[in-house]
Amino acid sequence: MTTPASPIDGASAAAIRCVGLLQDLGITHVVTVPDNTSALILTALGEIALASADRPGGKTAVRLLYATREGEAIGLASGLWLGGAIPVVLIQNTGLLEAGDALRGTASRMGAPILLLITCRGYAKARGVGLDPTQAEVDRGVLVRDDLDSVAHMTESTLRAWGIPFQYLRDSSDLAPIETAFVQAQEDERPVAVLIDTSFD
Amino acid sequence: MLTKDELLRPLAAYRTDEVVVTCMSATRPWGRLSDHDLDFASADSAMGHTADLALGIALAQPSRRVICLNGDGSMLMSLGTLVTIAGSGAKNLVLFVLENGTYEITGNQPIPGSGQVDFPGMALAAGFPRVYSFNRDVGYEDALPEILAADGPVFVGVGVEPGSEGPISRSSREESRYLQTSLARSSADFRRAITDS
Repeated sequence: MTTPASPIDGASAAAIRCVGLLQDLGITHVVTVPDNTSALILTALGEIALASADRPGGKTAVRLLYATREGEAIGLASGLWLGGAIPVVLIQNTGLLEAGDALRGTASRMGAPILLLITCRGYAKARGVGLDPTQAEVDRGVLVRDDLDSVAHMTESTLRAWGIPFQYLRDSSDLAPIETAFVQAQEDERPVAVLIDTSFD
Repeated sequence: MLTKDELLRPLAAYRTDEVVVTCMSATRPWGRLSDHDLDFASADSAMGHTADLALGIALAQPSRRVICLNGDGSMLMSLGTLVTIAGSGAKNLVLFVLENGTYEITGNQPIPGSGQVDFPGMALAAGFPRVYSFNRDVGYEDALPEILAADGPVFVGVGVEPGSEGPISRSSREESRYLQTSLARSSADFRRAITDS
């Protein structure tokens, strides 16, 4: 794990560890549409990039690219991979739904081993009302209830339908699922997702 | 308007080691003129994502020029990509938009706003530092060396006559080499070619 030589202002320790892991895996680019969970990782990426620029001879910083929508992020990452880079995509599960045909038609059909880091909107909300978002049936109640985010109840089934293997990251102090998913993507030659059901505070 | 041949033949003649990414109705005509390891067909896949795919290649290979032959219907599907490209500052990307005003592959249905949309104007507004527009072949071929050498990202809007290209498949029945293999195989071959060269 890469540990920055000096503390970095504003970025949480968990987010810095996450970025360090991405650097260790050889990730060259993070392509993203931000949300409140990923914001902490993006802060760490930006600040580590600044710190790296001040430290000649250090590891190359991971380049951060913002997209206008999640499907664009997938296409952009697929092009980066075609060009020899090693990108990851960092989006929310709502954006995953937006990106369906981009994912199917580019990264998946290309056999591009792109790691998808997907933050899990709605999971905590579901648990707060006693529902398991991975189990609850998506009936009309789930679709229309004000106290739920329906996307939480569609995320796993969507990934299964699209042929995207996934695992959960439920504790930001244990980043092993990211490394496992990265290795699986390389071995299987296809996108693999990590569902981020935790915060990086 | 230019014919596709008037657009693509001079480009194929000037092209040396640039990447060329094609889309929809430009795919077969380009494949008839070029058989290069750095040709990539963004076809039979996700419509609307050719420009972002090309941007990714350009950012991964900053020392190599990338030419994207996008369609107007495809561009409309991901207009935000004009902003992403301009904001990226990718100096090595040349984005052509072939403006035939139709979805040619599916039978030349009109695109929304056909004949009214100002693609070069939108590129300019998105922040492209260099924008060209051609509706006749006058001046196009003479401008090509400058277009291909300029610091980009460069936008080139070209009015082209609708043709009659039908649906594109990936099979041995296709004439062009880059359409004769699966997208997965084609992608792996392209990645090897660009990282080895």
